[in-house]
Amino acid sequence: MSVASVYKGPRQANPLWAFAVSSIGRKWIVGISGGLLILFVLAHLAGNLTIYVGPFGEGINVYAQALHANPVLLWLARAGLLAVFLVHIGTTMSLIIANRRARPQRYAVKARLQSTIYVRTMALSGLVVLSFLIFHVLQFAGGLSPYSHLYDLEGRHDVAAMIILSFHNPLVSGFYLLSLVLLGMHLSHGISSVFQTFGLNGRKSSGLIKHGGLLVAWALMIGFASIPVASVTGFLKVLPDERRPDRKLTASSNS
Amino acid sequence: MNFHLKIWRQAEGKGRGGFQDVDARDIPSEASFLEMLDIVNDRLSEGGDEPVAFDHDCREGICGSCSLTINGVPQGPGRGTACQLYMRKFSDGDTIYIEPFRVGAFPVIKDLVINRSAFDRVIAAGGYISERCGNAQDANDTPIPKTVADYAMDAAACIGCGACAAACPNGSAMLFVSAKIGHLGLLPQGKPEANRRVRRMVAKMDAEGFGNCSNYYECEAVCPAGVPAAFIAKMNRDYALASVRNAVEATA
Repeated sequence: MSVASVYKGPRQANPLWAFAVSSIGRKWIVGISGGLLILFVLAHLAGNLTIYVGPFGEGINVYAQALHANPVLLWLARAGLLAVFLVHIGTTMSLIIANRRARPQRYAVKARLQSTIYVRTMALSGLVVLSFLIFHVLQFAGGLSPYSHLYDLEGRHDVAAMIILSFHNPLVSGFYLLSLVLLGMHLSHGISSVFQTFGLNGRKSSGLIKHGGLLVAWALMIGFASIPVASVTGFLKVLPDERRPDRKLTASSNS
Repeated sequence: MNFHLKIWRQAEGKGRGGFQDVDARDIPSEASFLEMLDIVNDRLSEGGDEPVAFDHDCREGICGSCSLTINGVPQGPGRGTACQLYMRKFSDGDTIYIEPFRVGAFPVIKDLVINRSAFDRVIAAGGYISERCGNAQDANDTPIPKTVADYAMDAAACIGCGACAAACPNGSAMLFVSAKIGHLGLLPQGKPEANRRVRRMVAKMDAEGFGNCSNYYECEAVCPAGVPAAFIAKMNRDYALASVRNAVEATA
């Protein structure tokens, strides 16, 4: 081979741009955005679990009031979260398109060797979780829930009642549980994959990361699922109507 | 032993291929998979038919020429290459599908023979070390810890057969490329060019049209040399660090 034909490497003007559009660079972008979403899910769960504080779930009303204290910060955080979601989904779609091109012809017979059901269903679980998120945001943050105008004894927005009463509808709690199982599956692959993509997955740590990722994913799923289950079974109780300060805005009149 | 073979036949690269049904009768159980194909080809030739084209060379599992996907598994069931697979692994009367490696960057030349030059071009992009000329260095001049040497050898065991890319649902060559980057980058002789190597080889891998890793780890399961997917993690890290260093140096 003559020296002239030796490949001289990429010639992009900006080395960081070359990284961002490369196969591994886009994996990093999916990993970073996915990692941020995992951190958001952790924080969201920690916030949700405050519903177990107080006889009528007042803990989450206090938490919600604190979240809404600064509307500028809240909307900045929401915009940032939306941007992370769009980056995660958009970059993944660009990778899926590239991967389809790289394998134009399928095998007549395809054996499955050691790939998990989680990795094989990533696109499906991601899409179901996305459709769930649209419903979830409209329902609770968008005020579409019929129980979103209740106030507790302290005059705070009664978020606990909104959540618990919504889950009394078996269709709502059923859709939540199904979506949470799919979120658990998505994270079962996602958490350990973040470590692999960042190169933090070595020979000695790969078993720990694989099993630890599964454990965290399903622990998160169980934590979230506990709230619809506790609502349906009556473990979580709603402030009775006769004790509400504003008698016109009662739970029964809204249902 | 008797087998029902479904063998992929494709006249030329661009043509549409299809499966040919071939009954392989009276095959000795001690025959290797390639020897079974030799017997089948002899019979096809005697009957005036075109023998099946397939790649082979050393037939002892070290050259990486075999490129058969047997019942959906590149290099066939079990660890090792197709040439090291023996017909006693199968049951009498089995139906066996034989396909070429299906990767966009590995076009079919004929039947089961594919063009794996894309791997050579990725190697040419940086999979080497630029050594000085002159006399051979004293053997123990460059001390290398045993653990490092062993780990480098795990990657150097790669025979470049392409089964990793063939097994990958994304047609990704990252196990191969990461094995070459890992094996050279771990050793002192390969370190001076490590940053340039990983950037150039990854860029060439992308340009050849290989897919991306989604962490299916099917590559690791089929690799006849047992290269672990942890090398892909190392490549991901090395590539990011090398890109950052390159960006910083470009501004300096």
